[in-house]
Amino acid sequence: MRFEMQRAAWIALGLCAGCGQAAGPHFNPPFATLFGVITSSSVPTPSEVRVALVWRKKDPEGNILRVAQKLGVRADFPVRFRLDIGTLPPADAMNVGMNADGSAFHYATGSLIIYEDVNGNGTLDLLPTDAVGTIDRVLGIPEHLSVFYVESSVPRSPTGSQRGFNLRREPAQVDPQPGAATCSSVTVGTRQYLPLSSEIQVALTAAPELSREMCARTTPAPDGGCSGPSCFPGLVPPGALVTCNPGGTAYVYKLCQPATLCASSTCDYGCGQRNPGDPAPPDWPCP
Amino acid sequence: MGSTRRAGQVVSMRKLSCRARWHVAVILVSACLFPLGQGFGAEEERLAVVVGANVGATEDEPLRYAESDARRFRDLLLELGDVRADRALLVLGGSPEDVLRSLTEVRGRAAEISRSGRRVLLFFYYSGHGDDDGLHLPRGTLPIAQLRAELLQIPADLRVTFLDACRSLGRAKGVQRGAAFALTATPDSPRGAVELRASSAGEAAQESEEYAGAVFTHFLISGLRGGADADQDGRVTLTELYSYAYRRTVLRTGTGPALQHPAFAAELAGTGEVILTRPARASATLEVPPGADRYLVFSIPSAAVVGEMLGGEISQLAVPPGRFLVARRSGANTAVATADLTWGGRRKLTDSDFQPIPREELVLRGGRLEVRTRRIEPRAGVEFAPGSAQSVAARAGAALSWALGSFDLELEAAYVGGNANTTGFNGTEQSVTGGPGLAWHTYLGRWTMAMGVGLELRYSWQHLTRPDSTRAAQAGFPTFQNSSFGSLGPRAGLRFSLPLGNHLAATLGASAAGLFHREQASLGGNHVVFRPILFATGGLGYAF
Repeated sequence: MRFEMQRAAWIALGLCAGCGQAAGPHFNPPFATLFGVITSSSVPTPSEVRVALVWRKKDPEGNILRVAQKLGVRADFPVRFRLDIGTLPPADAMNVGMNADGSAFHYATGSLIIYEDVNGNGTLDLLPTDAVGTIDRVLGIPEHLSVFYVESSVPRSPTGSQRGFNLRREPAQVDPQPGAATCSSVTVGTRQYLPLSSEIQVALTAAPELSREMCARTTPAPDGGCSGPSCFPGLVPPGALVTCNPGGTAYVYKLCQPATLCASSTCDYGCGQRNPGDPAPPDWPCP
Repeated sequence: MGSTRRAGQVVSMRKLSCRARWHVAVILVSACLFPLGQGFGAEEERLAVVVGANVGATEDEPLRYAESDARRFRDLLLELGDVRADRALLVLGGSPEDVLRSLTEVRGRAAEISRSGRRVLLFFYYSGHGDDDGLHLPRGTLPIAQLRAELLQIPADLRVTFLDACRSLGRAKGVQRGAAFALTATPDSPRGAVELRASSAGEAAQESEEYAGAVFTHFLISGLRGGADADQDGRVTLTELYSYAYRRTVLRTGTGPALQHPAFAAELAGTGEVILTRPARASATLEVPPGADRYLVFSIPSAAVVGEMLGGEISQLAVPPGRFLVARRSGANTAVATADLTWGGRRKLTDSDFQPIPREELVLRGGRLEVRTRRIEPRAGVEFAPGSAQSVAARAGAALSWALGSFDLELEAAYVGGNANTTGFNGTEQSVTGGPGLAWHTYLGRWTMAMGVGLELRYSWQHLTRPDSTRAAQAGFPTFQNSSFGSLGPRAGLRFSLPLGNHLAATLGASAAGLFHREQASLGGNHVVFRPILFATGGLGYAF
């Protein structure tokens, strides 16, 4: 009997020693996991490919401030990857939104940036306003896709978002087409909330204009160009990008002038249109 | 020869045929002949040659304790006899040439001292086989005549010889007043030669298992430690010593297979007492309750007999600093007590300090008896677990141990608590821990060192919260993580303890353990991990 008791005690001790599970020093279950795929790559994939989540915030002056957040990548680079969001957006990145009924909600909007960690410091180095060059190199940014994070109450409109992290497809800003009634960029499509498990597609282009997403602070300027709904022929400034219609009877031009990489960017639009039977005026940019 | 067993003790017979003819000019046993007490002071330098040989001639049965007796005697001279260590030569199991070489060396030193005008006192002690021809050493016999001649050549003012080897033929037992001789009292300190022998004519000097030594040497040492200080003036004189050793040896051997009467011979001139030791100057003194009981003092952990006391006589004994087991025999009853005099001082034992013990156990284990075998020890310290969620924690608990000879069985229980941090959470981790262990202990001077191994069993609770829990809650995420888990692994450690008295000891220890437990992965699932821990604790042990 005594032996049985001892044996039972040892078995109990052994079971007890194996029971439960501890949180180890690296325990940090992610708040959300995103899934991505590299759809195409026009650049050689460097060895130090990382992914950052860059949050954008508008300050009272309308400047866009950016804060980078590291993401844990479980990668099957160069094709597929999974991103673990292990921390909440920095407090600096949080915006306050107001519902129509006056209730407030806190939110943050960010973009995924796939970059080459050129200096090997493990983080995406944001650039100052007067930067003339980059530190890291942006390889690709998912187009028209942002990560939307909400605290406290959920915004009433638009619907579809939920507390925590959301994946949101953003409407596209499209340049005006020749012959269009207006000559400003137009918004195409609506915001759409996607399941977090949606596959994020990224093309690695390393296009230079992507580098602006590394600017810690940018000051957007209102687009200039046509005033009023109709186009009137105007002088096409040198260096402008001109788009003509197939008949050569209408055109739009776009001239963007950033002073430096992270300085304010303004794009001027202009347009012209003539009747098909009329002769082309002098300096008509279309053939 | 051979040995006989009586009343739980083994008694070896030393060589019986000793026919040394020692010329005794005078036997001085009365202290009144030396009215002036002469102490050993700055004007007197003391030298000693101590010889012990377990092995004698080929026909001699080897002795068990002759060499250890010699060591004990030399230690006593250093401790209480005012003999410097470099002036006490020890010859163990050596040849006659070794002994003569030591005497020659002492002769040179004595001459040097004499030239400086200081008085020289020489001790010569021999424990081993011998007969009328000489001392039986392993590689030959040292003739008595040659030994005496060598001793006489040493320019010492006083030579005190202790021979625990043989009996002298033609001599009466005990003390005998010799032929009258012309004694001229001088203001000088006593000069001449004194000899104390373990036995008288036709008698055997005996070894005792109980004393782990020769009976005569046992009482010599006990007497020199204060047992012979009849007038309790803190000094043991030659006459006091002989009186004590004689009475005690006769009494003790009277219950054994052969009666033994120590003999005394002296050729002295001068005045004053011959003071051999000063127990009052001892750094540690042990005192027993008054009464007719007999007390045997053992040193811990060596179990060597330090001395003997009779409660009805001198009830205190000068001892070296250390721990002691005191065995009391009162008729058929036996009891033991322990005394910790590691730091010196005086320890007076009372009746309540003694706990009864079966006589058989006392006879069987002697000085190796464990009186206070159990100990409870509250401990507190700090624990380190590098690489884990809880890298530093406080540890507090208690250990209960049982001593089994040189081994300790230990059961420890403790609480471990402190902060726990993971990559995504902060919080606390608390555990109950402990387990059984086995340690082996040894003694390093005043310290006791124990090396142990054991099993560490632990159950832990984690309460972790996210550092940004308010925001996480507003975003709809869980903000805390509670988990509990068990772990198990081996443990090894080293512990030092320093006695603070008879019951208390301060301890300091460090241990290492390795715990296996399941660890939760951030993305689900779990795996077994090994968690090394180190902990250091201090404690206060109470033995009972």
